Order: sequence, then C-alpha cells, then structure tokens
Amino acid sequence: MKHTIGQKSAHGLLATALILLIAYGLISLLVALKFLGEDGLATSFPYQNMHGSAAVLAQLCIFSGLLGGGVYMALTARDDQDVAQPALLRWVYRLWLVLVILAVLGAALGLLEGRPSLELLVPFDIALLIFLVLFMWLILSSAAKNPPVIIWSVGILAGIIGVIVGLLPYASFEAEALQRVIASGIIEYISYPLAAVALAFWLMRRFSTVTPEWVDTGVFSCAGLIAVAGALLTVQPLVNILDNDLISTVMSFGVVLIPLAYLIYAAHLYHALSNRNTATTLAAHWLALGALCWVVTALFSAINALPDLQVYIAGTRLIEAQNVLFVFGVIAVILGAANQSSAELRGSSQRVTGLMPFWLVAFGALTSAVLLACAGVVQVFMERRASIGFLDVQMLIVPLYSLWTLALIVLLIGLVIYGLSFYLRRPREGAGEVSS
Amino acid sequence: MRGIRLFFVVCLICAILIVALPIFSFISSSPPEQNQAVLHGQHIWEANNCAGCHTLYGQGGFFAPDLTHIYSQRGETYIREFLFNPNAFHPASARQMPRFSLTQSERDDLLLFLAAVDQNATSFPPQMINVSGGLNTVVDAVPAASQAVEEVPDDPAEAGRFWFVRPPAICGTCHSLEPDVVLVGPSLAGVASRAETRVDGQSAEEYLRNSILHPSEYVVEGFNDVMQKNFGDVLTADQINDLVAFLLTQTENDTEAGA
Repeated sequence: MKHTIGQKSAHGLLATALILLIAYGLISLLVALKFLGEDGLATSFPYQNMHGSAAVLAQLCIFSGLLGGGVYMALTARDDQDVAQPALLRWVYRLWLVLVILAVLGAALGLLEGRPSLELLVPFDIALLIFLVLFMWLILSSAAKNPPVIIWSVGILAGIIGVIVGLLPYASFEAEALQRVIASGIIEYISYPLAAVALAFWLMRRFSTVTPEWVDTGVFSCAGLIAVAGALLTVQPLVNILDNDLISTVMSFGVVLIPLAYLIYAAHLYHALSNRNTATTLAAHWLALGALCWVVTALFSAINALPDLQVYIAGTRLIEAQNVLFVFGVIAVILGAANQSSAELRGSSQRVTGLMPFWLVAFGALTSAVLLACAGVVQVFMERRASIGFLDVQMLIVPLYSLWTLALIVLLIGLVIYGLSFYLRRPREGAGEVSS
Repeated sequence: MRGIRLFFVVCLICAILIVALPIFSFISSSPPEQNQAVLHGQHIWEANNCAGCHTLYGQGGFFAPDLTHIYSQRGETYIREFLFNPNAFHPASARQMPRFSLTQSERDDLLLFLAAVDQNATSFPPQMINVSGGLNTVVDAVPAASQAVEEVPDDPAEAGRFWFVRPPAICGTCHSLEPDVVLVGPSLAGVASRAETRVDGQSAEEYLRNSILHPSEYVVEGFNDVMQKNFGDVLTADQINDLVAFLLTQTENDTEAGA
C-alpha cells in the first residue's frame, strides 16, 4: 500500500524528533562532562552555549514529536488515512524541517544566546508560532470532533500562548523575570503534558481493549487535572521573585493537586495496561515509563510547592532533576507514539525498536534524574543551610556528577539503538495494510 | 460526556486564573519605572547569556553561583575587577568564567542591574549563598568604589593594609583580622607572632612572603589548600612587599590586630 502524505509527514516528524533527541542526548553528555573536575575547554567551549544548544534541541525535539504524533492521531481518525489538506501539510512539514535545520545550525554556531528559558531568538520564536498555528489548524480541520485531538490542540494552543507571552515587551527586570517564568512554565508544564496526555490516551486504544467512551472520558478528566497541576507548577518559581502571600497560598495547593493529577493519569494507564489487546508494540512500555517519570516528578514538585522549601531549593540541581524528569515523561510518550505509528505503517502491530533500548533509556533517564536530585539535596543542605560556598560544594559532589555522566552515556546508547532500530525497521511502501 | 467536558473547561479556567493571578498581582502593585541604565544592564546580562550559567532568583543555569545578592556580598569594586579578569579570582576552580569584553559603561550598567536585583530580592534566598568558602563578610571588607581611587599610602605597612582589602590582592575576602574569625582561610590576627615558628629555618618575613607566592608549600592545619596560586603574577613586587610589611605588624600583642 502506498503511504499517504499525512502518514509520510507524521513519520518524518517523529523521525526528526528522534534525530533531535539523539543530538540532545549527545550535547547533554558534553554539558555533563563540564561538571567534572578540570575542563580544558572551560572558556573556549563555554557552558552557556552548550546548555542553550541542548535546550534548543529539546524544545524542537518535543514539538516535532508532538506535532508528528498529532498528525498521525488525526489521520487515523479518518477513513482516507490522510489529513484534510495534504498538499498544505506537505509544505508545512518541509518548511518545519528548514526551521529545525536553521535553529540547530544557529545553536551550533552559538547564535541563539540571550534567551535562556525560551532559547530561540525572536525570529525563530515567531516562525515557531506560525508553524504551531498551521499544524493545529491542519489537524483540527481533519479530526475536530475526536477528544484526544481536541486535548492535543488545547496543548498546542497553550504552547502558542507560552511563545506569545515570551515575546511580549517588558518594562522592568521583575516583569521580565515574571514573563520568562510564566512563558516557559506554560510551554513546559501545560502545553507539553496536555498534548502528550492526548497522545497517550490515543495510544491506549492501540494496545488495550479499553472502549472509545472510556478514552474520551479519561482524556478530558486527566487533561483538566493536568492543566491545573501545570498552572501550579508554573507559578512555583514566582515565590522567589514576587514577595506575595497570595501566590504562596495558591502554590501550596500544589502539595496535593500536582501528585493527585499525575496519580489519576497513572491509574488510567494502569487500567489500560491491565486490559491489553493483541498488539505487541512497546507503546505500552514507553507510556508506563512516561507515567513513572511524571509521578516521580509530581512528588518532587509537591515538595517544591511549599513556599518555605522552594526558596531553599530554587537554583539547585533538585529543580533540574524535576524539569529533566518531567520533560522525559513527555519524550517517553513521543517514543511510544513513534514505536506504534512505525509498526502500523509497516503493516503490523509488532515491535519496531525492541526491549534493549527501552531498558537502557529507562535506566539512563531515571538514574540520571535521581543522581541530579541527590546532588540537589546535597546542595540544599551544604550550600543553602550550612553556607558552604557554591564552588566548594560543586567539587564535593563531583562523584555524583561522574555517576550522572555514566547514566547519560547509558541513556545515549539506548537512544542510538532505538534510532538505529527505528531506521532499519522503517515503514516501506507496499509492506502491507495500515491498521486503523 | 457533557459533564466531563464541563469539568475540563472548569479546570482550564482554574489553570488560567492560577497563571493570571501573579500577573495581576504584579501589575496592581504598580512597580516603579525602571531606570534606563538598569534596563541596559539587563540587556547586557541577556546578550551575554549570563543566565546560561548563573541564576538570579534561583532561575537560570546551574553551572555557576547564584548572583541575586552578589552586589551586596562582594561590593562594586570586587565585581568590577572580577568582570575585567574573572580567572584571576578562582584559578583553582574548574568553573572558569569566559572573559567578556565589556566596555566601562557596560560594566557600570551591569553593576546597576545587579544592584537593582539585589535590592529587589527580598524573599530569596532565605540566607546568603556563598560563592566559595564558609561564611561571607566581604561586604565589610571591600571598600566603596570611591575609596578605590585613593592614593596608595607611602608607608609600606599602611600600603599593605590598603591592598589587604583591595584588588588585586583583596586578602580580606578570605582572611579575617579578627582573632579566631574564620572566613575561608585562617584568621591573620597575630600572624606575625606565629609566622616565626611555622617553618624551620624561615623567618616570619620569609614565611609570609612564601605563603603569598607559594601557598601550597605550607597549609595551616585544619584548612584546605584552596588559596589562589597566582599572586606572584597578579601582584607587583611592591604590593607583595607592602602586604608582608603589613602582616608583620599583626602581632599577638598588637592592639591593631583586631582592627
């Protein structure tokens, strides 16, 4: 069977996400190396450029994956297995690839400095905004009544709002700090998880016997709670910037609501996992990993939601552990979607990438996050409570950074094996019928 | 299905309100108009991607120290010197800061920006975050910028006292002159009396000079070898002589030891 433009675009976007993810893993490893003792490239290969490049790759990777998943989700809801405007999708997809290439080149050449939370320069952000609107319109016009597609669109809309907030002019540094925290929070904690949860519920129907009604109900209830949890996560850092009792009170609700939202999502996933159908892809495994990452992050976040603790934790690796693990939950869903869509485009619901990369990635991601959290705990007690200097504490936790680096190597190996499997078992036209 | 959709919409409205709350709170507090120089300083901060490594209010990179209160911790003179040649200050650290080619006016505006952040941050952090060492009383040790242009006294001991708290020596960052007050290195109150007995065959003057030029050769018990190793390059011969002369006045009987 010949693949439709929608199928090719969705697969291309997911493949792009995978390539960007491997590049992100590689840059993250180089970033981690800079935390180990002596660094001969300390000033010639500055940390902030590498860190910025890694963030650019992560953002483009996640958006590519979510867009690819969204396109695939929409086309499977249609009889013709294509979007409503395939010709437009083809051009939007191609131009998206151009944006990705330009952004990666810009990051590699150190041209994207200056906006650390959002990373992309203003022209790139405007281009990103336009692409998100176009993709959202293409997908909504193809399957507007499908509940997972609706939630996915709300997630992408939140991403659009986040980018717009980041582009607004500011009149003072407090306003800029507030704006940056809110913009990145909306993107990271509301947009990404909403779109990913939509994908996750769509995937549950592929590997489980759950009914469409159950999926529709589940995706709305979980998405609603996750949106509230995302808002609470977004305002958490503001307690350090604005001295406001009302914000402190509101963020305290996060102690209960953030873990509750993700535990309810995990319970839904558990129900789907308990009622498997005959599909043998690893989408279920990846979703389980994603849920684990989110639940652990939600527990970290519940601690951070206490204003009196947040002021001690802000700026430590504990916060980074929370961010990395949360984003990895989203990435796990994307990898699950890539696994499932690739298998279906090959004409079967068989494994595409195997268990080895899954376990390597799971071990690498969870271990690296736990080690970062340990480093963060040491920082809180030694740097924030015992007043030992930042540089001295950093030297004391080099052993933790060494283990973190090893975990990232394992993660990278897993991602490379996943990428190779994904490429070697790529769908070829004429391979068979696409299951819907 | 209608009920669950309504639940989703209500949750979405709650999420919007939660995010909007700090924005309205900030706007209603009517923050004062920002000085243009401060905004320019902020632009320099962003253009050089300082937040790629440092944090302000706990937001930013995790590679270098939080700078929310660096202005009051280190003082203007120290930061100005640091920005000019950052690697002279923490040569033993693996975290080397790139040397940014900032003009004088850019440094001025960046300092104004850091001063404004320092003044604004009332809730973060709950206690000082030190860059290095144990405690930080540099605020008292670093003189105001206006004093930095004072002439160096002619008397070697007074000149040494002058350099003790000023760049490029700025010994007071790590060493107290108060008895038993440990900053990073040992207190230098009464050091002239102890110096004679530290190393066999070395006079007090030789020991002090050697401690400045080769700090690793004798490390006081209970302390780590973290002292800057490049004072031989950073300081002139006169400055070293002046510092030694000043430290030789720090005897245990000297009432000035606690000055």
